[in-house]
Amino acid sequence: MDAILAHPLPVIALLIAIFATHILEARAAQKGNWAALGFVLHLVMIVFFVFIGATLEELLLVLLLSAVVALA
Amino acid sequence: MIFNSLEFLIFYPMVLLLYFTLPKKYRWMMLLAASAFFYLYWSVKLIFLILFTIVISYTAAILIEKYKDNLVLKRTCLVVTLVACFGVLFFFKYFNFLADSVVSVANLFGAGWDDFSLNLILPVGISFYTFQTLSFVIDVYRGNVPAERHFGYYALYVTFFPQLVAGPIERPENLIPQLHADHDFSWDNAIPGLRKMIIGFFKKVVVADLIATYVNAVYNSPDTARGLSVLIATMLFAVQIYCDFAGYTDIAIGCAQIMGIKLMQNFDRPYISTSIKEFWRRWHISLSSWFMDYLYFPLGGSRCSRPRHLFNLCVVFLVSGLWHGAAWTFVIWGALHAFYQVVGILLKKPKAQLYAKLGIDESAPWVQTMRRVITFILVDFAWIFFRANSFSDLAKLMKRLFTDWEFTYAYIADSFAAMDLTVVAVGIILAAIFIMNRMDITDLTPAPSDGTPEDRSAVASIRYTYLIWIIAVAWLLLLIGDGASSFIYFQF
Repeated sequence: MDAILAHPLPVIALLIAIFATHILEARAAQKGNWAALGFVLHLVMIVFFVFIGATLEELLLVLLLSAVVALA
Repeated sequence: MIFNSLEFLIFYPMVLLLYFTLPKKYRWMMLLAASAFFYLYWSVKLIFLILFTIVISYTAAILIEKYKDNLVLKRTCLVVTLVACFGVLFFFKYFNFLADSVVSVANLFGAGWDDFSLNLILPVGISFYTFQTLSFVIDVYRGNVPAERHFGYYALYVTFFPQLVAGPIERPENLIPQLHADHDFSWDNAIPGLRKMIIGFFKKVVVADLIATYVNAVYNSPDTARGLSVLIATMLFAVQIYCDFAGYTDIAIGCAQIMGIKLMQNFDRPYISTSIKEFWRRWHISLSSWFMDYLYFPLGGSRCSRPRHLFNLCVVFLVSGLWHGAAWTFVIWGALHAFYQVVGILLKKPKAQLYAKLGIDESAPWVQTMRRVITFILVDFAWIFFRANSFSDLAKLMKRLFTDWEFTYAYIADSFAAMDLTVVAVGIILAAIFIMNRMDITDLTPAPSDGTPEDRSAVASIRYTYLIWIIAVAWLLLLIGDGASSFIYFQF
């Protein structure tokens, strides 16, 4: 959790943005647009995690959390 | 070759490419060669064992059909095949178990015998392909299916690579006609097939393999385990074995579906069962139905006296336990499930009377939930016998589970430490189990919405992309930690 704890604000901001796209996608009529935006945000998140030197466990945890929100 | 290997990720697209580009009349040859290559990855010698089983059963089926009016000859052919196929299975799988058991018992009485077990390799998938072969011969004997005259197609029926080493144990009437049929490439098959494979990989790589680390930490070191860690590890093992085996089955079904071949369903969310009987209708369906058709019903099934019915059930579950492995722990596991079933039958009437007396509606949600919880506890308790490495380990684990309990923070921390379980790991496991469960429920079909079908399809595609990332990250994590593993059911 070291990398996440070292950069809490950008990580939280990214997660909130991703979760928001999942929620908006569920409510919107045109789901594809929000899903595409969510996909781009995931790419940004993965690049960011690689950039800050996060471990695979940390990356796996946030990806799983995102999938949980998407499927909930 | 195992599904969760890089070799398979190269092998399978090549097979698909060849399958759909070759003229249809040569496809069986290519699939047979691919299946042989798939199996040869484990051992070159063991392919001759499959070949022996194929030749014996192929010849027997043709002879049985030829002598269909001569009961003695027909029956002789069947008996010879059963003896030959079960003989091979017995020798490679059970000889050392029997030898060890005999020596142990003899030495208990002071015989002083030396160990006479042999240095045998257990052929991968021997129990699966033996049962599949025998279902063909028995069905031909019963006149349910015609004998397959084409040796190549019959060999492909036995060795079809997606289900060769861990099932589903297919039936001839389902698989053989599909192998003969011409299949063109179709997105209607490819997309659901690919989705099924992704779900299977998720179950195996993300859920089962990650959980395996924590389960192994307890079951491989019972001396350092605590009561709480045994409890958590056993609950996790229930998830691990389901995801490991159902994951394999999903990948196998998906692989075959892309080629246009529909394999039978092997799992149907077993842990939502409200009784042990229902559990066995949802768990390893291809094996349960095999035992029903070829052992339980021939013994008389339930259409006989009560004692005989209970005896039939006990025989089926003891054989099922033994099928899973050559060890007394598996026999006890089977016996425990037989015991559950027998008690369930004996208590059925008194239970109904009690419910009626108390005015409880058996279909009420809270009753169903309670039954689900009880069924899970019973099944999970039996998994301890299945997973324990030996009898001595089993005794230690049971002792810890039932006696080693404290209600202090230090004890809880110690229990988690015994499993190397961290907060991040707990988060990963819970999230992975939730996603796996959702996938099982909905097969990841997006919920109905007012969006266009194309729109919903785009959302589903993106969600599968997330899953592929998750699988890739988990796989990398396992490879770095040397945790990528074979499938549990390969040993059977």
